[in-house]
Amino acid sequence: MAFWTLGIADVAAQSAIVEGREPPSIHTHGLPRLEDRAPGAAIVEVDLVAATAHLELLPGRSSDVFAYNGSVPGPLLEVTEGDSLIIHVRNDLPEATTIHWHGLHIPFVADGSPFHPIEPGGSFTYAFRIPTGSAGTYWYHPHPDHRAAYQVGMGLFGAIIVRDPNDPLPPLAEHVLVLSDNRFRDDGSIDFPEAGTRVAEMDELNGREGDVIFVGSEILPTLSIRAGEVQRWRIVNASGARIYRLALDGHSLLHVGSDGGLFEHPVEVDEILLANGERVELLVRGTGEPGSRAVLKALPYDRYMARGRPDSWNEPREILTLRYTDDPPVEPIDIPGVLRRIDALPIADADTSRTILLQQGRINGKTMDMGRVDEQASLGATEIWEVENLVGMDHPFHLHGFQFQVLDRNGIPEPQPMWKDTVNLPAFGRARFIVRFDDFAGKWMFHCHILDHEDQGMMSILQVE
Amino acid sequence: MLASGLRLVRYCILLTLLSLPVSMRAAFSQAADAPPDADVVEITATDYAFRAPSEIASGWNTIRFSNEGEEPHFVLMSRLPEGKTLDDYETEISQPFNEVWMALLEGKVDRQGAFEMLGGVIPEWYPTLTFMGGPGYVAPGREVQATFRLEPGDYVLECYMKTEDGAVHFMEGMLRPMTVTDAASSGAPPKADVRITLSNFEMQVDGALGAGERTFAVHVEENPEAGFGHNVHLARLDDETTSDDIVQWMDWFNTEGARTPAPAEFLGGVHLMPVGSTAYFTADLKPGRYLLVSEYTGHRGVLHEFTVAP
Repeated sequence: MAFWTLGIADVAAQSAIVEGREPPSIHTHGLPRLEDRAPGAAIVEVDLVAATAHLELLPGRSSDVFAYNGSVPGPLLEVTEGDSLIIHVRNDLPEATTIHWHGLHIPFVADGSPFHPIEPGGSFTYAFRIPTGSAGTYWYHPHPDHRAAYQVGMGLFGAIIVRDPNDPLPPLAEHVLVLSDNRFRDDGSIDFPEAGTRVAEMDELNGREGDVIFVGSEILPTLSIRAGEVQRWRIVNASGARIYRLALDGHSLLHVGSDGGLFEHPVEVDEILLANGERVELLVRGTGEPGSRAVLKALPYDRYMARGRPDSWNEPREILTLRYTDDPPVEPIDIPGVLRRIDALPIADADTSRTILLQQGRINGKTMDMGRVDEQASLGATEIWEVENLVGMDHPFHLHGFQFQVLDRNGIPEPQPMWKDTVNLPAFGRARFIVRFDDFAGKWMFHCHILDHEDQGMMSILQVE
Repeated sequence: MLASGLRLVRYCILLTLLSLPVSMRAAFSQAADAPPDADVVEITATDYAFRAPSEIASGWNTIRFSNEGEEPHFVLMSRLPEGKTLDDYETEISQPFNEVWMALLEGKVDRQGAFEMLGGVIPEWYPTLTFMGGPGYVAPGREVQATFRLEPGDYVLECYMKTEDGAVHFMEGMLRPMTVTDAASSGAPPKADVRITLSNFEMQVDGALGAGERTFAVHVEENPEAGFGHNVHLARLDDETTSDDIVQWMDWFNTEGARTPAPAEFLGGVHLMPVGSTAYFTADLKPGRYLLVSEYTGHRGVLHEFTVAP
């Protein structure tokens, strides 16, 4: 049974489930929507062109970028569970690229890994089915050998929403918040340092961070909310290295979904940590007064080794403003206490345990070699992986192709099962997860999702056969 | 020969030595058989990181040190003074040492200049750092055991060997914290076959150095006034390699010093420790030529070459 086939809790008793519901509004913050060639069918067929462009990323200044369909970030792809997705990709860039559909459980040939580059001037059609049970927020970005950090930094990334036709949440206004950061020169050009400079050395150590934080294509946008309203925020960390410790002034947040979609019990949180590549779904409740404001901030988070810690690391950064309208409050809706049952993968099914050691630029003592298989597993097998970070900075760990369930972090059990494809390992930290290699054989990457580290070779290959 | 530029460092070492607790003075005759695997601490080295527990009990600990890398590594265990953290150590000690090394490597300073530069960048609290031993140089693919008596406190584990290109291992990731807790270990020192006494400037070796597994007790009777102190590393020499070659290679302030590859196969040892300390390491001696050498004072005669007969 594919792991995506999940039991649904008795949500029907708690909220009205209406098939085919659309959210009342969806705010993409500058992301255009990808146009389906044949809307209405269970086949979604779209076109993506990766090409150079000259765009105004900063107000009043234009930058040479790489863009999907002329937009940075790329367009929002929306599909429904069970859809067959056909994506015609043309590479009009001056270098090879791929598109990796981050978090989706799809065949190896469609994974967009460095094994399947699209050469300049070439085309490739990605085709796969969106598995049932996979509803959630995902993203797409290039994954060419040694060039991921550069191509993402130049503007190639976008978001994916997979909708559940039986969404346990009621229709809510949605915000798709694709967080990214970048660095620019005075003339507006995107700033990548010269090799051998101090900045280049720090980028290699920390991963390249930018001083300008974007929400979609916007900087410090203002979102509107009505007192009493509940909104659904889908947040993607598309940054190459920055980890966001998010908190909304004067508000707690209801954490309802992770990389792999909704989980069973909403959790009230004051802040949430989002590492590179991770996604989170939050319900934001309008508990403020009409006319008031609140700021979503990235609080200080020390992910660095001492020698690489930037001076500005402990300065909070404002991400967006939430402005309450002057309208009288609406009656808050009921949020179900149980959303979507996620059956824990049985530990007794695990017949193999692996230890993955993360070092600076290496995994298990080795740097990436496209010709070498590092781990081998059987199709259908269930395994427990223990990932341990042996060095003094955070490394977010990502596995292609298969979602997993984190069992514990530093020995502390996770409070409930949830589907993840990326888990952050703080300095000298460790995490264990359980994974089942269902459906798709192939050579699957696992790596640090600090893109500069990935490009340096902090990546390995798991062969499932 | 250590240059006069180490005067500041010598001052630092003296202050460190004077701060020794009396309890560190353990006599050879009190050694006893250690229960098998009692309080064995597993530390693994890879290129370039350590895998080690975050906490161990205080008292006698046997460290099983496995080098799973492709370069030689060791573990120097340093106890931090109260209030200091790994962060402080990395920023105020590791980085300055690396800056001095890079200046030396790039030819910006000569040896004397390097020592003078070091004296200017080492922090005032450096004398309050205590070197507490650690397994000595170990060749790739080897596993060794060494036993130390550790006081409670926060420690830093590091390797300061260098890659073939000259990058220092602690800058590549071989630097991590470990806490020695107040809980007492149930370990005990092993029985020694060979006793090594380090003094100024002599390595006295007593006991039979025949083939087979040998446990060495290393006692620091004195530490020198100048330099970083005595330690002991065991190297197996081939027919062409001389003791001088090893001593030269171990000179960290030599631009070719302590860089991969090592000129001999290292089989472990005991790192820098306070005066009065005793620690133990075990090695399997096969027929051949060997050198027991102190990294910082081997050039002053603190070494012992021997042959194990077939």
